[in-house]
Amino acid sequence: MKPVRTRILREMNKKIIYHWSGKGGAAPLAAALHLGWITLQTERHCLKNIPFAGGVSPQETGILIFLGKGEKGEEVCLLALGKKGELLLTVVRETARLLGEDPKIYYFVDCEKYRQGRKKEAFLKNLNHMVIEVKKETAQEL
Amino acid sequence: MKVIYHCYGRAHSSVVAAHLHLGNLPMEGPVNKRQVAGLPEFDRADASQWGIPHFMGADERGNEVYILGLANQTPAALRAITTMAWHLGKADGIFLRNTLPAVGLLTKTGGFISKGLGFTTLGRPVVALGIVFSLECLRKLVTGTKEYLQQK
Repeated sequence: MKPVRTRILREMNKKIIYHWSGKGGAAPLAAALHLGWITLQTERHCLKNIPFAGGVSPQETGILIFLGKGEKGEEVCLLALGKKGELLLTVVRETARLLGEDPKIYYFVDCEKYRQGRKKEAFLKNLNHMVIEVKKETAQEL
Repeated sequence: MKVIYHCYGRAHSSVVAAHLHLGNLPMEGPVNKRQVAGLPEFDRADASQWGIPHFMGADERGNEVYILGLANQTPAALRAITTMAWHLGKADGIFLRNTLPAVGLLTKTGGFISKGLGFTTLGRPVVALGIVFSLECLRKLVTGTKEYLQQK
């Protein structure tokens, strides 16, 4: 009797963390674009229904918010950093290491630069471009 | 279990708490400021080491003891650590203890002179003296931590 060959599909275990100051909806919208919840054609009034699209309160900064899994199994998370966020990024990276995770699987995406002074259409277009780049980069690193 | 003593700069109160926990400083009897200032990590860490847990050793029950500096980001950083541990299913494997409430104004002032202003020669003896005055509170904090760990 021939042995049954099983093919193990390695699930992409990257964790993509879209981070921003917590004001506005740059990171939540980027995450929603990543997860396919919205597209560039989505009507503007629907964007308000995206979780955390209106920002988060100061008491919610630092909370790692899991939103869902992307098409290749990558986990998509949000992280509001507040005003001085560099220390929080270090804390997340080092906590992952401390708890036995490989910090290399964490992919931090700064969405703060997309926050201010842009028209909604251009803003979404830029976010979408960034998300496409993120997807490409993380897929290459597999 | 990973026990993390955290404070502002992980240079003073968390260092002493970790050494008390690990038995390098006695839990009873007098301790002088020379002993405190002579601890290897005492008044050493700088801002570049904030946010990075520093391993101090393992206690008699095998718990790993760490120290951590969170600057003025303590509440947000604690939320980050706990949600991270929760996401990874390891929330029970980590115990965080803030050592700052156990020390007084003298320690904080000495710490600021030494680390904030950079006058180490002046600040270090002051912060060491402050720690000697706060030693009973730090011992109580460590005793509480050990009792909690025994119940686990």
